[in-house]
Amino acid sequence: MSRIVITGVGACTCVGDTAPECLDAFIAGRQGNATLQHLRPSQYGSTIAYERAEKGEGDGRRRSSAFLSRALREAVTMAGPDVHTMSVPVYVGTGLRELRTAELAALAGDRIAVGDLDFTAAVRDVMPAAEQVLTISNACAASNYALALAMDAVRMGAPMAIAAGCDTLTSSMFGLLDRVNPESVEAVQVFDKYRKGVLMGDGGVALIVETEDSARAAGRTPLAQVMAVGLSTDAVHETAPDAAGISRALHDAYTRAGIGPDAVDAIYVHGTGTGLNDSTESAVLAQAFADVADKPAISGIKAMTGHTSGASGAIGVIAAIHALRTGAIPPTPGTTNPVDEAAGFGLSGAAQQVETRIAQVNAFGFGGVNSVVLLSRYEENRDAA
Amino acid sequence: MPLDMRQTEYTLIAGSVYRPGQLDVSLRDQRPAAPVELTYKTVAKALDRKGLRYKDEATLMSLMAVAGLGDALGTPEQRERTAVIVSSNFNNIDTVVQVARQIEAEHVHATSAMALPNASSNAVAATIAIVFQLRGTNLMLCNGDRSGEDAIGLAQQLLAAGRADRVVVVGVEVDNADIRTLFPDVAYRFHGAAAVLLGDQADAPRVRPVMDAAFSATDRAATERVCGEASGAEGILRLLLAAECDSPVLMGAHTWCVVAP
Repeated sequence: MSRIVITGVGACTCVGDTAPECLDAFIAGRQGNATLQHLRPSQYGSTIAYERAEKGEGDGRRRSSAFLSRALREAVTMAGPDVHTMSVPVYVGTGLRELRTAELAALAGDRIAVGDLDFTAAVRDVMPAAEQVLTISNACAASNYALALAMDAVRMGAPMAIAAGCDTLTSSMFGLLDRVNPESVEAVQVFDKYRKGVLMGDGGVALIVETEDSARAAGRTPLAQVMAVGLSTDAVHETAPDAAGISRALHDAYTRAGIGPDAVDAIYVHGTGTGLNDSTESAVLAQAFADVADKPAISGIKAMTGHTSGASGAIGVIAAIHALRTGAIPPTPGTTNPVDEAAGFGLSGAAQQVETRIAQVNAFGFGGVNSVVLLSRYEENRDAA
Repeated sequence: MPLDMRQTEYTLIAGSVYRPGQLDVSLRDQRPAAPVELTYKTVAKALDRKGLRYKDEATLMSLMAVAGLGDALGTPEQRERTAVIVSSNFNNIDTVVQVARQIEAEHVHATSAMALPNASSNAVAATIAIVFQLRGTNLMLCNGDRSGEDAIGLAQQLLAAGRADRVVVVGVEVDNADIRTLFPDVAYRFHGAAAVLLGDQADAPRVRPVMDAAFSATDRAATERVCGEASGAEGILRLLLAAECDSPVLMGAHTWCVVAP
């Protein structure tokens, strides 16, 4: 079986319009939190978010679609000149699909079409021949689920598949998170003892997934190997995380990849800055790595981007690919008092340089949907696994 | 070459349709009717379960449809390896636009925190997993009008990839004031949920592709005549209708036949 590799990436967040811009900002620890731009601050308790400046159409419609098209165009262009004309399955992971468009239309008294809620049109703006476009609405783990499905599709014979993600703030989700936050939040403090909660961000991301053979035949450059995507379902609670469920996702990923936790050099944590997520995730990691003397470095990308919901997993994947290629691990700014469970892991306010052969990306979502991606450095002459 | 997930056959282990107000009516005999609102108390009683008070209509109807699969859902061990895929477009639109209107008209303080789980589009799929203890891969597909048949294709992909042994596929749509205000008028919109349990079970009807395009295959138009405009639920209803009528079913570019075991 030919190895599965990523040959193109694209991303946009509040701190960059392209993947390289985002990565530069991540390594610099540049945080994108600012006063609400696209929702009216007067209507909410908390008024800070990590939004892209891009305005969308009219009163702000189709912003998620715009982020997706932007990231997809970048990834496709990077992979090769003919990729945009190909018909390959595209899996789009999103927490909130185009629900902001639905909100704006409802407030304006307009009608929309069913097709305005999903991302088939946004993908076909970039790839007109894309027949199979699937909008997977798997909450905050959605783009990692998209990667799992894309990887499975390639394993089962598709020459290429695309995993993408996109989200923007909805008034309903931003407002209800604000409603349940006991304190006003100014920034996402990943794994900090005194963290106050989550703030939303927005953005888009795309990954070109294919076999090594397909990439080589077409002259495309593999950026990294996808070893495995582990998935699990808590079936416990609608919003609260479950340590047992998250542990199963880790175990599923390690088993599929045929490695143990000791092989992991860097972890891009889900790290939302909420009381429950960070305590559960850090406890699971502490337990999984209890017997590992040389613990991996940890990076919390949401300190820079906010919680980009369905896009966040694959944005972590792009940061992980950067580490596999350069050794550069982004800092986690704003975390000055790390939780005890993070002791021994390299969690730093400054960028780190770490020899990274294998990187892990966690993403967990509402409803107990858990995903763990394992990536390894692409080495051309290594025998196929 | 585009990937075609619809190459492998599978079995239809069980099927179920739930429409409030149209109980005990076979699928082919359903007729247009005004949507009947379903309250959580009805579902709580039917499932003998608490904690459903703040569930939206899409979730409640889906729970009833999955409950209709009965013992076919299997043992606790089988449920650990049973995936859930829910297909819907209108599922949580009501919560989303109602909360957005409250915030716009007043302030976030006017909202109820109990609406939070429903603000996320995957609430239906997650709740099915919780209530029926189904721990296989959990997916929410919101893919427009072909979402239902895409969900069937995705189920086959999960089975073929070994991520699950069985898959519960649910199609659900709601017809209420929020949907009627925001989306184009249709003569008759489906308000209900359909569930199928797919897998590989020797004594269950086998769904297999047929090469000669059958002239009277059950297609979207045939489904809409009895079920109404069913959007994301249509593909699942179509499969069930074909099985009930013992006719071939047209899914994507392929015609499938349900063959008795």
